[in-house]
Amino acid sequence: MESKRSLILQWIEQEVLNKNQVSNILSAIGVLPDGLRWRIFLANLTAWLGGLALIFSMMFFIAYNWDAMGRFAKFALVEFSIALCMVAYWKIDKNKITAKISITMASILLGVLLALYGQTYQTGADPWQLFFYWALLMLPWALVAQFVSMWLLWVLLLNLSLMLYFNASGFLFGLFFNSIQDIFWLLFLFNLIIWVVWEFAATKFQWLSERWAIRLVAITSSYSISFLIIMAVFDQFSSEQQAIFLYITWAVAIYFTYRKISPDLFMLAGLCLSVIVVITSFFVNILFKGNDPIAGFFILSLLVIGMAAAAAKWLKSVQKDMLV
Amino acid sequence: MSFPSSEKRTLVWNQLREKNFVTGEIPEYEHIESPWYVRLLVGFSGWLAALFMLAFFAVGFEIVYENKILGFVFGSGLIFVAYKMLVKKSISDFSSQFALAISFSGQALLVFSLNLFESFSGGDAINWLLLAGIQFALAWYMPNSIHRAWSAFAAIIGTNIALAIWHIYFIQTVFIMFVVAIVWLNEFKWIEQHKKIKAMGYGFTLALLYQASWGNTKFLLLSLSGYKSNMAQPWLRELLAGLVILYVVFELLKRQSIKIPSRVAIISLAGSIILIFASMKMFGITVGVVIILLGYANGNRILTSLGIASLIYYISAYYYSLHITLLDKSQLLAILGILLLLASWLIRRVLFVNLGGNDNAK
Repeated sequence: MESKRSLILQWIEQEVLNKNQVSNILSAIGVLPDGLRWRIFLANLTAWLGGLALIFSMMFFIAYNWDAMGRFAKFALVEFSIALCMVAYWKIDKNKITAKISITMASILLGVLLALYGQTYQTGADPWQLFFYWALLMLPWALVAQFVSMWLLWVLLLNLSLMLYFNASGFLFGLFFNSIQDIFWLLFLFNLIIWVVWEFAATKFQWLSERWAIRLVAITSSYSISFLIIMAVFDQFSSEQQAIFLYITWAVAIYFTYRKISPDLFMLAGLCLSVIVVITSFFVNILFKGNDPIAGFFILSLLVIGMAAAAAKWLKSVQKDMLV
Repeated sequence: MSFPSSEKRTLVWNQLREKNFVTGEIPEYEHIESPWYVRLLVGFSGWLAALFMLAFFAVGFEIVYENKILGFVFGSGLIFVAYKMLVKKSISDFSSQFALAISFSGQALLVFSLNLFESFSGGDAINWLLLAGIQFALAWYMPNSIHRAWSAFAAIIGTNIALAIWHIYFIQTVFIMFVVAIVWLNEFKWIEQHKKIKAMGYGFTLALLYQASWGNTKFLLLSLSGYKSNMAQPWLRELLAGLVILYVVFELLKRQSIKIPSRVAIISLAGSIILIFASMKMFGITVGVVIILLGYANGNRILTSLGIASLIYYISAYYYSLHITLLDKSQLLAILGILLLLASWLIRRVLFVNLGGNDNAK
């Protein structure tokens, strides 16, 4: 819809279309919603917002830990809500958005139930376990639901549990990861695996091919590797050469995948941003080591401008190729 | 892909031809507009370059920072140079980046020369308004969409800080909400200035999102530390925000040619009033809902996504607000949730009658 909209506006600017008819044209080709589409949209929006409000209501209620209500009543409340959501999912046509909302709500309530369990019995478990078991228990529902948002929730929970596990214990990972930067290695590798698997799965399953979801995973992984390389540039940890080697390999892989195999301008723009920041850090490190800062600042400014201009020009040419 | 491929161009062209909006063959590409993420990359780089340039001026030309008048003149000069570069019809990517960095540096120099960060006393309000005025002018005249969006954002923030210094806080958010509503509702009416309006609209929207989250928190902290409001209270903000919602709904009904006493209009307005009551204790949701409605009404996915993201953020952030207990928040959310689900059911059962609609569409 967005591309249709920009196309019409572009043709109006080129005076190919009559500018006085802009609203009629946009309505005629379905960019602006008609009465029916408004109703469908509002029905879905209110269902989503209602579901979200009820889930947050339950979370706040459990967090308040109200003494006047016994533990069994609280458990019954959460469990009954989960059961209600699952019954709704079972009864409704699985392709309807309301079915997807029901199973997503049930998955989030599962976390509330686990939190309530921890709060009630003071199990002494580490926080990572909450998120890990939550992800584990919701996995069958995610498989059944075939809904992108639920898979993103699953990835988010595993990311959280990894971060918390790393903070809580060096066991197992301690053999390979032993400094604070290593959490970023872990996040980079984990999200990279998810990213690659998701890209392959998206070619087989249509419902997984939503680009925005893959891009979110890609951003997390790319942010981690970019952060690591910046730290390596400023000599913050020992495995500097390995980090540089891995970064270059990663950048080349992104370029080939999203330029040659499966063109995606967003991924290439992300790569450009990462490269600009990394090269700038590299020059900051060189220029300010015992040198005159005046020239350094000026050179850096020109360098960033040059790189950004080159990136914009290159991305424009890629975009042109993609259009043809 | 958020930009149209050749197939899509042909498809849209054929659709337009079928509906008699065009005749003949599809026109050649004249220029290709970059998608939002490429513009974001360019904007970010522009600011990064501007920071280095500012540091260069700070170290190399200290006098510019020490002498306020010189700083103001020099800053204005930089902005003028940037304007002259950007106004050229054929400008290279490098020059356009360079112009952005120069202008951002000039604006930062203006901020220093106007003493804006040195104190937060009443006397500075005029300077903040002056800065806001300059930014409004830049948003209008600078022929670059990234610059326009940034300047529109900065203009609103400057105005709000001035109002806050004059002890008028809480209602600024409604003021921006109203501006955002006006701009997006008239996006296609002001088609002659569309590029300008769109870029400024994004700047205003981002300012609204900022103001409804961090901006309000900051002013609340100021009020807690003895920075008293004597002109506006939170309830006034909620009331005025309610009026803005009603205005937006009224305009959207008008756009669909729905008469006010009709069933659809009554249900829509009743739903809006429920939302206004709910938002009396959770302000952010009105902001999120208004942005979602405006985005959907204009077929603008970026705006709709911004609204959805902000709504999730505001509901999550509600957990940390201190004005009522978690138990009260929980009850309020439960009532809101039930009402919304009821509204969803009503829309499906009552408004879909004779329309043959289903809820499968996204």
